[in-house]
Amino acid sequence: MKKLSFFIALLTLLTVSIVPAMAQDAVTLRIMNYSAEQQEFYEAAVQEFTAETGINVVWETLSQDAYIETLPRMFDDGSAPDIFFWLGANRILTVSELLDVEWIQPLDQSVLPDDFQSRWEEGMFVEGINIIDGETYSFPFNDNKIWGAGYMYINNQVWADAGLSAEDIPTTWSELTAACETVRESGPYCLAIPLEGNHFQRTWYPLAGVNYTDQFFDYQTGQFNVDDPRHLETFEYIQSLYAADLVIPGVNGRDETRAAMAFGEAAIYFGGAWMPSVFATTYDFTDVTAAAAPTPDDGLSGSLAQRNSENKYFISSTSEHPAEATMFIEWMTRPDGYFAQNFLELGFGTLAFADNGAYITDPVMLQVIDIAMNQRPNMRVQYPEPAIACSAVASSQAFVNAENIRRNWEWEEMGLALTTGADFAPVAEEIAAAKNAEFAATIEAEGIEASCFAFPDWDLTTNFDPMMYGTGE
Amino acid sequence: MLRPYTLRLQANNVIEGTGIMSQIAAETIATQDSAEDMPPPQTSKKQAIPYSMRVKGWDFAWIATFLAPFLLLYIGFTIYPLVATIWYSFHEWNGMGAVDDFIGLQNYVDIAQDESFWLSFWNTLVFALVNTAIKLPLSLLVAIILTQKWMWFKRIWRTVFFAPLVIPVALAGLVFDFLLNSRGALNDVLTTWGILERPIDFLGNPDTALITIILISVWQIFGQYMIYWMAALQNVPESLYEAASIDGANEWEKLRHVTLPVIRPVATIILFLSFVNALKVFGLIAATTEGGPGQSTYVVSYFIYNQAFRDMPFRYGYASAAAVLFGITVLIAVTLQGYFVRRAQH
Repeated sequence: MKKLSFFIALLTLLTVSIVPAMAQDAVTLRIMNYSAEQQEFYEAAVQEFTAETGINVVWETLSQDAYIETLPRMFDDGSAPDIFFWLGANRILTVSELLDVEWIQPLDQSVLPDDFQSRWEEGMFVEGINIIDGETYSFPFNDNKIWGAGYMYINNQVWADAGLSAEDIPTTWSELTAACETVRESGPYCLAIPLEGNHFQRTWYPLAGVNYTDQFFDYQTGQFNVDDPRHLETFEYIQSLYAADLVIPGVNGRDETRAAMAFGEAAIYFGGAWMPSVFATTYDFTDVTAAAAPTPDDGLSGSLAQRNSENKYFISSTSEHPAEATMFIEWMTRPDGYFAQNFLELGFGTLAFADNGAYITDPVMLQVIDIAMNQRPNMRVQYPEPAIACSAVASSQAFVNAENIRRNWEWEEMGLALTTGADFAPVAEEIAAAKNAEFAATIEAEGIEASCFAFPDWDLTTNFDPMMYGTGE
Repeated sequence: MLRPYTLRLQANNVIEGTGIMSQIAAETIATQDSAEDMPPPQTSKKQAIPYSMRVKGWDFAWIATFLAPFLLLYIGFTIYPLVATIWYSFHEWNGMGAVDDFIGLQNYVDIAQDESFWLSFWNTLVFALVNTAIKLPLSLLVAIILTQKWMWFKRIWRTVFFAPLVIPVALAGLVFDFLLNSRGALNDVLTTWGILERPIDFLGNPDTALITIILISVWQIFGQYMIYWMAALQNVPESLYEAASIDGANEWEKLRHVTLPVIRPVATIILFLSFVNALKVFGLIAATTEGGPGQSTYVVSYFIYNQAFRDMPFRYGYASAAAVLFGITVLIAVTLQGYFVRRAQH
């Protein structure tokens, strides 16, 4: 009996020792992002990957705020995921930012097919942006032609109740005002515009972009430009909508205004390409039409910036499985693969490595694609990248220092002016002057030429020609 | 050891025909004995503790063992964050990577020149002062009423006034956001009754946003201070009220000459607690105005939060410097509290 007991104990001890050791041989990748509403899709996707490769994957999502606060701490304590999602302070130079803090490692080229980059349009992999010293650190995830701010969403029921039809969807600012007055006469407000924090940008970008630019920096002159007459014209137009009681009054948040639009308190909400998915998943609201932002009465005279800013997924420097992580990225970015097909079918957005029109079935999302690709193909154009013109710009603190004078300065003052009806021009001049002064002082101290940021020969309604880049250093 | 309390009573009371009481102009003093008045303590600080009374051996080990968990938590969640914050404040650090860019006092120099920081400092000060000035007298008045013998349903009233305190600050903010916006219930009522011609966006108007936040805060925290006052009032000896009644004092005179002087030391503590707690306002701002409209409700805590966690690139070092500066302010307030408490006791 004693010998039997001893034998059982020994067997148990061996089992307990061997099983974990065996388990350690099975690789488990951890991936994190903050699209919590897509968690179910990610779980299904990783199961597919595991079935194909035998590599286990755990995909975790957090709320955006929690993710942004938590991820740096995970790197501090060595528990960072193998693949993570991150949007840098400078969306173009995120790779440089992350290399600076030693958060990322390059993709393992040995497991990538030779034609990996052919999945994207030419010019999407750029030295200094997602390639550093010949090593590829990331890849464009969402496309940058369709994805982004710039669309007008209409509540069809509110629109119809006001006696309006699809033919009445406004294409100019005057038509927008007239249509809004018609909606207002029927009861609801016409526009739901968020003003809390920097949420006003959702309305600003499309309306400023059709008149001038969505940026607060003019890449033709190399100057901060919130006081440009064209920006002031756009702002005064929006202010006129408030003065005419066409906009839900008050300082409302983003979620409040989306809900107001979804539940029929307003007819129109300006938002990004993600709104069809947000309306459907968050508010169960699908009776919506997407339309291009109305232009000034004399026509389209501006553009939204199309930039190489969608490099969002990275392999962490602490990952012990860079090869497996790269395998997952390769699997994820197959143009006709499970991930692309289902991501697009579920209406989560557009992808830079897939034929968006082939798989997207959401009718509103298809409208968004049609606007960007057909109706308004130059709604978004390639903007110049100073970091390509002059490599020193990549490490410049000029934009950061100018922004740090007072963060969200433009949005706070715009919100205040819209709430009180005050004249925005004096404040705009103050903001531009302060930022330009700080910017100039910084680049002078850094020894960077101001010409690195100015491209006077470029027409901001057309794609920037890379041949225009000087040698600049 | 109990100490008798000090009160100063002046009563002019003439009782004709009895000769028992005449105009009392003298002071009746029952003193909280000061160190000068009390006999020397039996254990002077200068006198060494006898060896036989010192903790030693296994007793010391047991004490250390029981204190250890608290000390660990205290060091881990109080001392370490404090030291770390001060350390970060001397560095340029965006929260990512190593803390290795030492810049000395540059963050403090930049903070001193940051108009947004000083605006938030001023807003915080205004919030704390006005919040305290409204909350304390109001809660004292209610506490006095609720401690009166003739008051009915005291427990129900206590519960009613205390209930807002159990509501999370964020939820309270959301509820009032809905109630007070231009399409909310309050504006609906006021415009329907003709009191207002046009709705007022209480939280969206820079002229009304801060005072609205203050009033919401008073509503929410009111019950807590009412309880403090009630505890203080219950420590006023009944005999003093009886003596005052015999002397012919009315309710107002009892309040002025009995209640307030007796509770003065505690009132000083409550005052400073209230002020210091109000300085730390954050949740209500985050849940309602997010510092707006403009920067009319921008407070220091929210400034720090924005710099460290909201706006990219994060500025942990800068936010830490702001936190240290603000912490010094709170420390000064707490130190003053101690001074005024001691003064009140004498």
